[in-house]
Amino acid sequence: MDSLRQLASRLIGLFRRKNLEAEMVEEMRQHLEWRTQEKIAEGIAPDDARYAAQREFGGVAQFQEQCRDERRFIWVEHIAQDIRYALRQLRRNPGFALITILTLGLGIGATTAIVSMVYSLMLKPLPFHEATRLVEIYNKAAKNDLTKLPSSVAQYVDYSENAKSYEALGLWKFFEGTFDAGNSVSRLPGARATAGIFQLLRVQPVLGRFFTKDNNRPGEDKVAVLTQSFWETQFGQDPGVLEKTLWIDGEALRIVGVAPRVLEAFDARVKIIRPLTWTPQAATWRHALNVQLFGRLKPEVTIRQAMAEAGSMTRSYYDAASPSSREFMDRSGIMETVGGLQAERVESVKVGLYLLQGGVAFVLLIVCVNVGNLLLVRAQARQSEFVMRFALGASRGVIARQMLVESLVLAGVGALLGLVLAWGTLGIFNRYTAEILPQALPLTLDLRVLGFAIALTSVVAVGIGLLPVIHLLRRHLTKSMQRSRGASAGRGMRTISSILIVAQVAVALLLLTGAGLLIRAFVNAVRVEPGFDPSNVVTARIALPASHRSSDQAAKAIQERLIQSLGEIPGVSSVALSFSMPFRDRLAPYALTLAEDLRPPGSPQPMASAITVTPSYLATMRLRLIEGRFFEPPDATRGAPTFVVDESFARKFFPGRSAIGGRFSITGRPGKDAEWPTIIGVVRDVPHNGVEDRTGNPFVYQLPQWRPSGIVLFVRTARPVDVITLMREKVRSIDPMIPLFEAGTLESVLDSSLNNRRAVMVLLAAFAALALFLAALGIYGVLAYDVSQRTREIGIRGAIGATRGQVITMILKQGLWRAGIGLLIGLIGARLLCGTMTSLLFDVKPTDPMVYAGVSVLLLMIAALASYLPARRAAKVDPIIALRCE
Amino acid sequence: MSKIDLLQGTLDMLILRVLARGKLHGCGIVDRLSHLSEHALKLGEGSVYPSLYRMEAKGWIKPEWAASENNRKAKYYSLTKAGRKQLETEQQNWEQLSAIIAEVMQKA
Repeated sequence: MDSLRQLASRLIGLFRRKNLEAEMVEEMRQHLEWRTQEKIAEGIAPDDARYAAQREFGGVAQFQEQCRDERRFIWVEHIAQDIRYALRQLRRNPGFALITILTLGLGIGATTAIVSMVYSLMLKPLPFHEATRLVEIYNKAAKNDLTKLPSSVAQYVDYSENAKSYEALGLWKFFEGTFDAGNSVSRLPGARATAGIFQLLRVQPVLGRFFTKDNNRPGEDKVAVLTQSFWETQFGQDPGVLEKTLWIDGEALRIVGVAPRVLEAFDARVKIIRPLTWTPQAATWRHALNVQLFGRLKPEVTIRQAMAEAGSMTRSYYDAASPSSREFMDRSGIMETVGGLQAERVESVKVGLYLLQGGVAFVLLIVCVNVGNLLLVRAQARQSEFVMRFALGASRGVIARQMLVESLVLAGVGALLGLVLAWGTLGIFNRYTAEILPQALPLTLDLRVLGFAIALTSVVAVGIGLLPVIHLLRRHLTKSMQRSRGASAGRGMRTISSILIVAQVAVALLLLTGAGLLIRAFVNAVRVEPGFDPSNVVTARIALPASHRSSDQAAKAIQERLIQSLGEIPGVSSVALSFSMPFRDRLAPYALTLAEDLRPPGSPQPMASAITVTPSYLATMRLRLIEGRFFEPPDATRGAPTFVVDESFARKFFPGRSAIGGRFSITGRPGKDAEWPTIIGVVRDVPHNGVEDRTGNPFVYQLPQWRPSGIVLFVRTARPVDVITLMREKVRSIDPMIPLFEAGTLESVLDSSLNNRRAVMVLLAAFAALALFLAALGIYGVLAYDVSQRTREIGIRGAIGATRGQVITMILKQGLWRAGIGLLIGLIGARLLCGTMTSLLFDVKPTDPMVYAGVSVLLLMIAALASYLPARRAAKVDPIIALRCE
Repeated sequence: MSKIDLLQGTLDMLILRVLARGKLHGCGIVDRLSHLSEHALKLGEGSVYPSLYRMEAKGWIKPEWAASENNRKAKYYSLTKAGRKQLETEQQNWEQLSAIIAEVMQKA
């Protein structure tokens, strides 16, 4: 209490200083005045009276100073003084200040951004009650290299009845529907779910109610739950929204409730949730994998136990299954498994995140080292200043405090810059994550991470900044005085900065190698032939209302109208429709049935993905036909279905012979032999699932067999720029209820399919460039200082006949041997660490000699350049001037 | 160091004691101190001010500007509750300390 009041009084004193100062002066003046008057009254002469009063009072200025000291924070003013001094020092050497602040800012900014991202995506607990108990149950087919396939309704039914590990289970299926807001139509992302989802997430409606199990029956599903943000943006939080009708895909849905905001952490894309329904028949297709199955584990059950149970559930299904199902399961190795919800969500980007985190840790390390080195060199250069000030009476504590404040000022400004950088970077990351992990919420800056980065760099800055002072404290003063002029720096200091340089070079090489491998992988990925000509093709999606899909005839009619009317746009040479967008839609593989399997017995389950196209697809995409023919319009009306397959398919399933006339089915063995679909053509491979798809599953093309809502338009045109508006007009003229979206060139679709890889590559390359720059700066700084300290020695060498070349070589050698050691350590480190990024490399081995040689040469060149600049200065030393100035 | 502390501490205690009788300005405190000590105490008159400012910061005394006997504004100091307590403890400490010192001086 007492000390609190004291603190308050002193704080007030700090702010009301002027006022209090005046009061104090007045008080003492009055005291002297009274005394003088008293003495005059006693009959002393005025001048003598004033003098006597002053003598009795004592030193006025001294007492005033004492009073001031009692009133205020002495240290606050001392620190302010130190900060002013530090700023003056830094202004005198702006290059040093700028480089240090920039280095710190970049290091702190990069670390904060990356670690915040990793934290947001991987570590921050999902905002649900006991979120660690939330799991996803999914399928994997080991023999087909499929690590994650969704689940089926049949599995949900089986688990609901027989699994013992779960408190609640729920299905979730993302969809996009056409939302009719009365005056306009738009695409609305939503989810079909079972009522169990709300139960397992343990959420309560903020308004109204959730739908129930009864709604998960066909016909009962015309209800919808809104997410809170959709309720806010679309309905202005109107509480009367309940019982209103929402028109989705031409269906009237009754709004029954509003879900709380936390639900958006489960899937950030979704705006509405409506019941998932299925027919009793569908509930028996164990491997119709098209829904996501989530569960909440019972408190005592571990994920490992749940996995074991999933294994035994798979086995008991297998034991009772039909021979054809068993054969499929044998060949694909398909089985159910369980994973933590959060881990499963980030699985696809995990390696990239770890890599970036490792990279940024190295950057932070190098930043610390570099800042330490800069401060060390600078403090060394100021050694004589310290000695001088010490001799003039500054205490060691005062010198140490000033160094500390100087380091802290640098760290503070650097931290501020880092905060701004981190904030900006996260904004850019968010644009990427919205695409790569659409269900994740936007990333936020994590203040704890920022605090950690600032604390770490400050500790390093301060710690190393103080080294020379500690050195000074230990050293004998007179010795310091003697050595302060001209002589070279202490051996200990030089060893430390040599070690720091070696460390910097090693870390820079490590990062360079990682970035080099990724760049090579990226180049490989870009170089992959798409198998078609994406230039001058514009693509867009449309969603057909149910009225256009009521019958095969209606579907065929709208398709023909679309092709015809888009073809009327001037400059358009051909138009095609497909049910999927290459490089963007991930096509699930079908299990095939081959009429005669020519492969050796025991080969894995044959699989292929099917692309549904119109006959004009070949001409529009400029696919290359290798054998046979592509579809022609009459094929659609002919009896037996036909397929066009790609080269891989032909090679895989018809080895050593022509695939034309080969027979297979994607819907199981047909009843009659004559009903087998036949292959009519073979085209060049197109990696529809993106060039990075490594499952090796081939693709087959077929004519439209069913009537989906989503259709992709492809338009080949000489003028891609203004064709999108014209396309939109044409589609609207056919039916204003058909929304057109995701319009763009096919080239941009291809390009964005590499965004994930590009993001990791660009970031790691940026880190590597930063590391390289910092290492070069480190080498330069230390050598430049060294040269300036050895002017005399170099002068003597010149005087006794050393040539310019010899002097340059001497200094160059100094830089290069340190870089060489660093290089060697870095190469060993890279060899050990780069194996961890194998999964990110694309047709590149983690030991790729080209990359290792390339980055080594690059690093040595930069090191040579960084050493050459001080070397050249050394060579310019005039022996006569150098010797005379001593 | 300890000598100064002792002196300072003692001066603080004496001022507190003087102020216990009622509020006074700096000049009045000096007069009162020299009167009570029968002018035996020699101290620079100004040295009461650092002491006053220190005790004000500690919250033992509080200042106020009021009209003086000759009708001019002067800064008066009076004891606070905390100051009264402090005076009590200091007085006790002082009595104990002087008793101990007296005993040591006699016996040694």
